[in-house]
Amino acid sequence: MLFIITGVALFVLGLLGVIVHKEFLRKLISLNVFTSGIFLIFVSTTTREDIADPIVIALVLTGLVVTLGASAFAMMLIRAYAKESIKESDNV
Amino acid sequence: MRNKTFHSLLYFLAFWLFVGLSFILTNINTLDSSMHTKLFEAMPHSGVTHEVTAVLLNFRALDTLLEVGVILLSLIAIHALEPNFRYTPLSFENTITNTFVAILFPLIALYAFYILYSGSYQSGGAFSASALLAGGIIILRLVKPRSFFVPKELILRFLYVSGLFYFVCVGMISLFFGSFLEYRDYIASFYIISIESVLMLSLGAILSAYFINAVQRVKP
Amino acid sequence: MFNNLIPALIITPALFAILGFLFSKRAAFFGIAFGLIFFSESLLLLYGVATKSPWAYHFGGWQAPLGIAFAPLRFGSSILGVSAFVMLLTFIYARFSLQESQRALFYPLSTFLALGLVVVYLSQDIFTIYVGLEIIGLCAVGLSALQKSPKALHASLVYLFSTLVASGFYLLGVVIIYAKYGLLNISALIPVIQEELPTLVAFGFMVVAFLLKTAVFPLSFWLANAHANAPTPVSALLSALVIKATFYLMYLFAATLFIFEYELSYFLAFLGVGAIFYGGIKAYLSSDLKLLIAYSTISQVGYLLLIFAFIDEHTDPSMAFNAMAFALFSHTLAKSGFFLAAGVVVHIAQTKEISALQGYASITPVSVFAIALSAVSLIGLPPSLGFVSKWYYLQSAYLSESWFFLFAIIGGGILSAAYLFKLLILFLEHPLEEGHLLRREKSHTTLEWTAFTLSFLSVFLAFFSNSIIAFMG
Repeated sequence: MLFIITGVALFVLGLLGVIVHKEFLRKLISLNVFTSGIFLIFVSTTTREDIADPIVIALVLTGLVVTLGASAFAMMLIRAYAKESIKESDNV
Repeated sequence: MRNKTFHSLLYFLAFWLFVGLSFILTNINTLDSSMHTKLFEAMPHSGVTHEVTAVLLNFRALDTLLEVGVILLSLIAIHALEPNFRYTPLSFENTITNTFVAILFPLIALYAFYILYSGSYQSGGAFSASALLAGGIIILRLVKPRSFFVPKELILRFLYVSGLFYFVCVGMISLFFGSFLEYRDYIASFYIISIESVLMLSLGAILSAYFINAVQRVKP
Repeated sequence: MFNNLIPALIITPALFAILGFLFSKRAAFFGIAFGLIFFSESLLLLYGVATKSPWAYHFGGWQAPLGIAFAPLRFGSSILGVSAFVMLLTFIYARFSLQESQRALFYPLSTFLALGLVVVYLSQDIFTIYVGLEIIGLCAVGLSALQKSPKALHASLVYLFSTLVASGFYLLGVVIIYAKYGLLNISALIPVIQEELPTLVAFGFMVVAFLLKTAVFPLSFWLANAHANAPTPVSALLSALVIKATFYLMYLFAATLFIFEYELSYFLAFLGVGAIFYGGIKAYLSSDLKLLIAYSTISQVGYLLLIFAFIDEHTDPSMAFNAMAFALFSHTLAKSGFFLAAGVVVHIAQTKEISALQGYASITPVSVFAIALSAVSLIGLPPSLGFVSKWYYLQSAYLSESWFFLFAIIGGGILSAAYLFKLLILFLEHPLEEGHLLRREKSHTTLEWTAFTLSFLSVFLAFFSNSIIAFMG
């Protein structure tokens, strides 16, 4: 119960962060909070009598790895963007 | 001003989203999961004793294959950005860190293998192991950036793709005997362990490459 | 034999992506070889779907609720076939239009994109679809970031965050459905799913995810810049294939899983009308050729959504379905042809400013002809796939007496005629200067004709519309 509410709170806060923040790095961190919230909801809503559903754990593991790949790419894209905009403002 | 009203509207909506979602999710009443019962019926044929590993590499192995694909594909996408990066490596090289790494790295690698093997009967498996391994490689890279041995690009690429390639090959072999990624009972555990080992190495390489690509000096 | 086609459709993209990444000097060769094999496999699949009774493929031999099942449906497999064709021609185009460093990464990434499309169009498992959506999203952003100007990278970042948030929403929908029913397979879910609050909330999150990924107005903010600033073959792939995948999912879920409230489906159709006019007006106002095409995509997506106005109607639902299917095929072919042809024009002119493109019909006649054919299909003039689509839409609107949608369809057609004819008239005027002819290169001929093939098919296939309808059943 407590875990579900925490998960929802993370989900909503992360979503808000992605929309409100202007800087992409902050957006990325918010996005990770957002997805962690979803995974927490996933595990906590399906746990029965303190035993987590093994299928859910496997799915969450898959989802985590996918998110990891996406975050790594997003990080590099942010750096590339920062680099290029600095280069352009130097030229101007 | 407009931004401010927009933001307060957002916060208001977010609050109600939070209340509504919490209410719905805490009151959810589950039907009996037939997937769950099927899982325990099928466990004896899975080749491993730990359910999570069985789901990941046997029952829903396609998901795992696609996910390895995602990891590789983000690496390729990062390669697409690479010409932008030129950084001088950070260095933490001194006696203390050198000794520390000399002891720590073999331990980390050993522990990664233990986690990999233990995946068949308790929590663990290829992904945790590869994360550990990647962590070890990154520490090594941070401490000894100059003497850090980076193999040739082509060899590295072979290492990156080996996980997905081996996975697909196992799938193709299994096509001769049944459907894609279908293992016979007696050989299932061999396939699972071998896929996990290859995955650990190649994912370890990819995960550390995510980091190393960002800090390494690209030769002009 | 047909049974093993489905794993073959997974194995081929995975293997060729690996090969293209390993031997990056030969990436174009592996890419085009992949395009050929993939297209022939998807044709075989179409043949199998047409001749065999519906079947499902169980991965790992595990039956549906536990394992992952793929089931080729008629509509999904035909979109996959068209997508494979567009992909093949775009791969040939990219061989001659991209620089070598871009090619080395374009081919592996778009081969992975094919993998994601296969998963989305064939899978019956909502979690596997999530992984497929992530593959498609990451490939699309990676491809659009091949262009390294700050503007393009900024657009890619906005695109990346939109697509990741949408994936999160979809995943939350999956989570709620699994928590409620303990199932992930669509056909296993259909008999047990009920109209309850959690289920409806899950559907709500999924619909928002699809709307965001398909770039339906007003969630289309990311599309125009991302599509307009990417390299030409990438723009073609993004607008022709990527947004169709999520629209297909929305349609599939609406037809099988979703319990639609009448009002909600009307709401979606109204969003479609909004998209038609918003995209049309923005396209008319834009002074950048590729931006015009991108806004026209937003407008055309609106036509796809109109089907939700007729999904619960008393009239024959198959008519609205035909209209939507033809709108989808016509946009896939016409828009990819349009982008590829515009790429040639932009390459010769070295500018994307529309006003500088005066008189290009005499400089690159084949591309301008291709653009004209695409325009015919996009406006919906007879005889073209776009016309067949509009004709069916008008009929369903007339028979169900929804005059609002009738006028929206006609008005949208006039609007697209306005911005496309404006462009074509400019092309047909006298050239501003003569020196442009010198910038023509030999490779442009191949580029022109690949674009022309796509645009031509978007018109020509209208003559086979009866057999297409018969195939879709």
